[in-house]
Amino acid sequence: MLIKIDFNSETPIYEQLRMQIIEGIARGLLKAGEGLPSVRQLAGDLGINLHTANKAYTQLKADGFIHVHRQKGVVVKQEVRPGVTDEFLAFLEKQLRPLAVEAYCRGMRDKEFRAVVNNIFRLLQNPKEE
Amino acid sequence: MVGVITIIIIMSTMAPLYLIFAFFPYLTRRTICMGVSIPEEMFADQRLKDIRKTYMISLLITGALVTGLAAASLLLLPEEYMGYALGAAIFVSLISIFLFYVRAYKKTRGLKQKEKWSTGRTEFSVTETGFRKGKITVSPLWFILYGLVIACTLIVFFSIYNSLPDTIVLNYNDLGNPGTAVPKTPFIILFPLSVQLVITLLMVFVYVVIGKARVQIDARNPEVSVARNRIFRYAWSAYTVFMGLGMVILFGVMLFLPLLTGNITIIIAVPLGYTIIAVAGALVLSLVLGQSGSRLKLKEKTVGKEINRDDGRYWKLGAFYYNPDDPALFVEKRFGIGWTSNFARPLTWVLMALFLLIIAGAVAASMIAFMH
Repeated sequence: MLIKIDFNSETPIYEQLRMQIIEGIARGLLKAGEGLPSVRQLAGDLGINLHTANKAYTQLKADGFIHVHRQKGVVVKQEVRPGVTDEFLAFLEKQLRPLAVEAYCRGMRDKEFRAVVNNIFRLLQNPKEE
Repeated sequence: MVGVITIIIIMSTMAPLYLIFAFFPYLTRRTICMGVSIPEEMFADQRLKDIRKTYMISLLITGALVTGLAAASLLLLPEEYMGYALGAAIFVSLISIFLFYVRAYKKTRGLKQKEKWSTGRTEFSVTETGFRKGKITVSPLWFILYGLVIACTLIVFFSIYNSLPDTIVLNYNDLGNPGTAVPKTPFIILFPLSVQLVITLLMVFVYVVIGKARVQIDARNPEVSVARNRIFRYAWSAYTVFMGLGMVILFGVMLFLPLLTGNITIIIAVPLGYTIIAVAGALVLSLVLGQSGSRLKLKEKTVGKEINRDDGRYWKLGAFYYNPDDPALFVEKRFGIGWTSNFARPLTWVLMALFLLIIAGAVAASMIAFMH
């Protein structure tokens, strides 16, 4: 899978990395059990700090997306991904709230708001459409 | 005989040096001009075209002059100074090439700064997580052949040792007379053996670098860039492995060649011929593929205005990479073909020291071979 880091973005590099790997898994571009480059390799290929790459991997590991294997190195997890936990629900609502509020103020109907979300879900289910 | 060999030596060293350096501006990625990062569409800008052309023509003219002068002085000088003369000529060549390069580099950089090419552009760095899972180099098992050739050299040497003449000629000079001749001892084998081992180590090292070096992918056309990169690495790993194997065989054969044939022309022609083939091979590969496969004709879809991350400030004179914040050890050259080291990493210096030590060891082994 191609990973593209935007150096002018406000999103921190580790967050860009984390999001792209999660999206890769969601869209099936990264298969379960597939190997990922080591921290050193990834940082070297992207020309970013070792700590930055490490931070992304540490979070992905903590959230259960990847697994660091003794021999095989970093691999995409085989088993079911972290389910919808209460913490995640709380996090989701907290992140979504300001967006929903702003959309509401701008006069957006809940149906229109849901259409945006539906669109994202559809793209994840049919990766070829994009 | 004298003239012919001198001309051949010059043609296989200095002439290709000038030629390849003259062509370098046309072999780089289109995101780099004379060691300066540029937006891809600027590559075709008339002023940059002129800078590249002026550089190439200056190099070709200087090259013709220096090469001609060197040939003349080599023909006129007494034979014992030929080695020094050739060394001096190559030194002068490198200095002149470097000066022309720096001039073109500064002109390009000046133009870029004056017109602010990179402001308002989004800089990207792209990688492919599965890059090294595909086939990017030839199999390392080919190196087994190196071991076999070295073993054969040893076996043949000791099995025919008794029938070898009392003095062994190691090389012939330009006039076809024996150059270095040494009395026969078993230590003689140290000479080809140490050279063979150094070549093997060197080729293994280059092979490892080709596999490990940073995967640099153009942000504008990532998929095509990945394909170019793969083909480039595979082709150069094949060249490295087989050219090196040929050299190992050559150094084994050269010891026995005088026994097989009395024909001095053959004895001189074999190593010279091999050098010419090896140099020509590298030239052809460079011209056909370009740096990182940039000259390969692959289907591209042109998109966006993305530019690659501009790390120009870490490239001293556009040619020497020094970036303490970059964990990469081997990176693609900006001007030229192949890879270079990140000089901010201590490991680079350790490797260079190690390399010098190995060369010193091989020289010492050869001295032992000749002194006994």
